[in-house]
Amino acid sequence: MFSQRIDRILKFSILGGGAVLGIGALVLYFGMRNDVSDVGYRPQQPVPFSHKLHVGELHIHCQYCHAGVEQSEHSPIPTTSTCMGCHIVIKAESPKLQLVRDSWEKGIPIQWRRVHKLPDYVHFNHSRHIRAQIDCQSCHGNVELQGVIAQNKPLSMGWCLDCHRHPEQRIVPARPISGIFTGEPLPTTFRDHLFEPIKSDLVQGVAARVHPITVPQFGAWETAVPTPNIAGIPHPKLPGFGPENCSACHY
Amino acid sequence: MSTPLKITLAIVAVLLATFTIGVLSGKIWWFSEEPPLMVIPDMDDQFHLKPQGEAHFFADNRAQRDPVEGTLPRVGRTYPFAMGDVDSAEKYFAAGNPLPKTEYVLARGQNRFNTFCSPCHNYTGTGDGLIQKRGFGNQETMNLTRQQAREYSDAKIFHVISAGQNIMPAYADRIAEVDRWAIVHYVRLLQETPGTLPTLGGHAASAAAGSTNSKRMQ
Repeated sequence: MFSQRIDRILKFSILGGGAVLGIGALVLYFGMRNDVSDVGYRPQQPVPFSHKLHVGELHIHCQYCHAGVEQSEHSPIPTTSTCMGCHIVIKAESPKLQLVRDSWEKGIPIQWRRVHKLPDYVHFNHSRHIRAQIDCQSCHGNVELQGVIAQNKPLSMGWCLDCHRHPEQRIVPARPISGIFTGEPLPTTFRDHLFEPIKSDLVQGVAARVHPITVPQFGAWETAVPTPNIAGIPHPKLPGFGPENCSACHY
Repeated sequence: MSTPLKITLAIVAVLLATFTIGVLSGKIWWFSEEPPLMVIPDMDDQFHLKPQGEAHFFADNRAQRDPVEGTLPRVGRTYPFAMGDVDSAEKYFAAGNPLPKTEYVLARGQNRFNTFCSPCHNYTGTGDGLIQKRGFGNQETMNLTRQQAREYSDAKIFHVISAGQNIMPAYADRIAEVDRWAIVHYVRLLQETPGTLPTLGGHAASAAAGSTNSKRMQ
């Protein structure tokens, strides 16, 4: 029907088009995976802060700067005053710290660039994992060896579930450098005893209208995860391991 | 085509295929300053304020707003005394340390001390931590086990942790009130045996090796 030349062109274009589509589909599918596209994201930060120097060489615990991670869902980026606690004396003239000094004097926050980012429809609670004595390294890699912080793990759902199903194979137990408290859960009497003066303060003081404080701040106790029941049958998983139900993270 | 050309082409093809498969499976990767490629954005970035995030609605682009005047924290309380106001603090905390000196409290105090105090004061409290060695203050005044510091009241130590002293910054925003009292207990323990690291039963051991963790894993 066609001349031999047209026939060849048609054949090649069909084959070539198929190949391009196939390769495109592969790149799309794999390119969207977090372990392909997200690992190795290492943005240039406004201040050349080195975890390798501060953690690796000076042995400052993670929680010295990222304090509040025991209580908070969000692991806080340290305030400028945390930096200036030492750098008001040490390297006080360094040009690398100019932005920190500006921030300190003018009260403008440093615009650090976010490295680890989960989608907004998933919740990750730092404090729960810290109280379960899971080391920072489990999810953030060897931060103490990195000059510029980079994303080391895919932070994908499959990767989360791998660890929730088989934590014994993946979790790095709490190391001293992370500052994670490995003690036993907090006794109730201890908490009550502690918060009594604060409560009475609030009741007597300006804040009589405010709710009494009931949540203890100590931060280092953990609540046992109840054994999950599926239709009345106990799930074989041990209590205390990461939950696998959707609503644990997607709420 | 000649044979050497065929061989070269084959090698190139194999290398290319290996590289492609390696990249697509995530085994070959490199650092990048560009944010991750989002082919389909899903609902990854939703319109809400995130902690310490950015919000262009406000003039200073901060999503986290300063609380209004007179706001009280939902948990805990702000430390009321300024740096140097030791007298008020000693009067207010005249009852001394509200925590019992149990092994658990000491273990917690040790954990918090190692995290927040050891960079300067060292793990033994002798004031020769790594930050001090880099030129922060002098060891003499940072030595927690010296005679003068031993004579401090519990309230004064608590006040210094909370509000700072000389070049030491205030830690009231970073260490919870209970934890500060636990640190006071631990500092007292350090002062009893200057220069040595106290061993605190199972708690200290677990701080080093995470042994409680492995127990939970079984």
